[in-house]
Amino acid sequence: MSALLELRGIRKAFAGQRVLDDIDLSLAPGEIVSLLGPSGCGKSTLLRIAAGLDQDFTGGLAHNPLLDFGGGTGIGVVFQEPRLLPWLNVAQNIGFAAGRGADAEWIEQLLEDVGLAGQGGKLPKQLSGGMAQRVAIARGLYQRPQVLLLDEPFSAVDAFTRMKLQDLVVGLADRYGIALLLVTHDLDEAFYLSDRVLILGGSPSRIQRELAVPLPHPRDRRAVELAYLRGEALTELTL
Amino acid sequence: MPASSLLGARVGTDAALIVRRPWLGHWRGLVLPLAVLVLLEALVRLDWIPAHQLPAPSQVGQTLWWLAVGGELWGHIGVSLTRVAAGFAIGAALAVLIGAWVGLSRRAESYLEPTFQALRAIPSLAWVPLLLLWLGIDETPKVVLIALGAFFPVYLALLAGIRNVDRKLVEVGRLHRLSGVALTRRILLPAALPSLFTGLRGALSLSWMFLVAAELIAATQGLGYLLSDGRETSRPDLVIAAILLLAVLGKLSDGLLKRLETRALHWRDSFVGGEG
Repeated sequence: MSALLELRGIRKAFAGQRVLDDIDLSLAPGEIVSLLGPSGCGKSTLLRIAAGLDQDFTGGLAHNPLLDFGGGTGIGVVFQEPRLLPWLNVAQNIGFAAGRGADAEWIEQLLEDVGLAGQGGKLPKQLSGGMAQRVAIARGLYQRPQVLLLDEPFSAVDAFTRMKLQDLVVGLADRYGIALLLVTHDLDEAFYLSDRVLILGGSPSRIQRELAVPLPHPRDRRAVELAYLRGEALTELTL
Repeated sequence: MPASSLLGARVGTDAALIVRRPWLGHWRGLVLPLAVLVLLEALVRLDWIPAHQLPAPSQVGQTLWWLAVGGELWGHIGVSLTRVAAGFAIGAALAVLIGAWVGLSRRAESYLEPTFQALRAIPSLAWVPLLLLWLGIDETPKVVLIALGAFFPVYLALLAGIRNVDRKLVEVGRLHRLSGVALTRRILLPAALPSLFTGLRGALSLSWMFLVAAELIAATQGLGYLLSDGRETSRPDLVIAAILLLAVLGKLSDGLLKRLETRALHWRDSFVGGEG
């Protein structure tokens, strides 16, 4: 098994209503995959299943044994909201997984990576939305995961912050060799960031189409190829 | 320019409104009690009210002074403080332990909640005769009664606090595979802390209430004893002195808890009340 994370034939129902039907998805090392779909299509549910937060589904979820090396689960998660613990300062939030035994040097490095060097002593209430999300990203990276799951992580910040955070996450994923699985409803974001885009839709949701983005990073947001792929996806989503 | 001068005038009035004299607020609060004191003193001195019914404020002050100089006062205060501290600490600690357990486990809740609901329906003072029968009239029944009174406010507030913790924060704990104990210690308790402090402060004021009840019934020392002693010896000055002491101690202990609360919850990002 070469994929880090593999979901096979995932089915999920809420109160008898099937929302996900027979979904296959795999994530290779270092790969960036986006799940794109309208809201309510079950893409966040799929991510929660992959994260192990939702155990009530049928189908197969396989973790590569490689993920079990190292301290944590090998999988980091960044949610739509920062979900910082308000009583801990920034550094304590980042090192939450290790509690009091957190590695201060690594936290300092992560703070620098996300552009918040020297701000570890601040409390979450003192942070702007974008800064809080940077802290959440650093927390997701603390346990040196090989997979980072992101659930619409940039949807609650303004457009400029969003672009900065997108570049930040792709840069960090590249530097630390992390595979990303990103849930989004933003076409631009999906194609700008990903190697593959899976379009989720229908009722119950299935993977309608898979589009590969054969462009190297860093990319130009204005690239013609991206515009073409966005058009393809839009056609698929509005059918 | 009329527009700018209008604007200027408006800014001016706003500024005038914003300038406040907070120290005046403190002094204003003293006006009523001082007036009452002066009035009472005058009424008693003029023999309009008999002194054996209502002693003059100066008389109460003198009684307090003699109690303090004689050293008796410190013994009463010390004994009462020890009882409240012990009862409050035991009741609150048990409430935190059991509240956290019930908050975390639905099974514990279904076993314990109905019983607690029933126990809570009993007015705590109804336990007094039973406590006296079982535990005699020394320190134990008093501390137990206070602990009983302190238990429920803390237990209920903590349970409500835990049940109100944001599911999204709990999920962060689940993501890090925290065990039940770690989840409680690292997420549920800190998140429920604001609610817990509300319960603790309620419990403290109830502790003082039950202290008085316990000491009125059977005690040879303490502020409650001072109250009943004053009644038995027909000395209203003693009774009023004891009431004043209870008020001061209650206020001081609540102030201490409030300071602790402010320090423990400095991370909170909440509305602190408007200026109006």
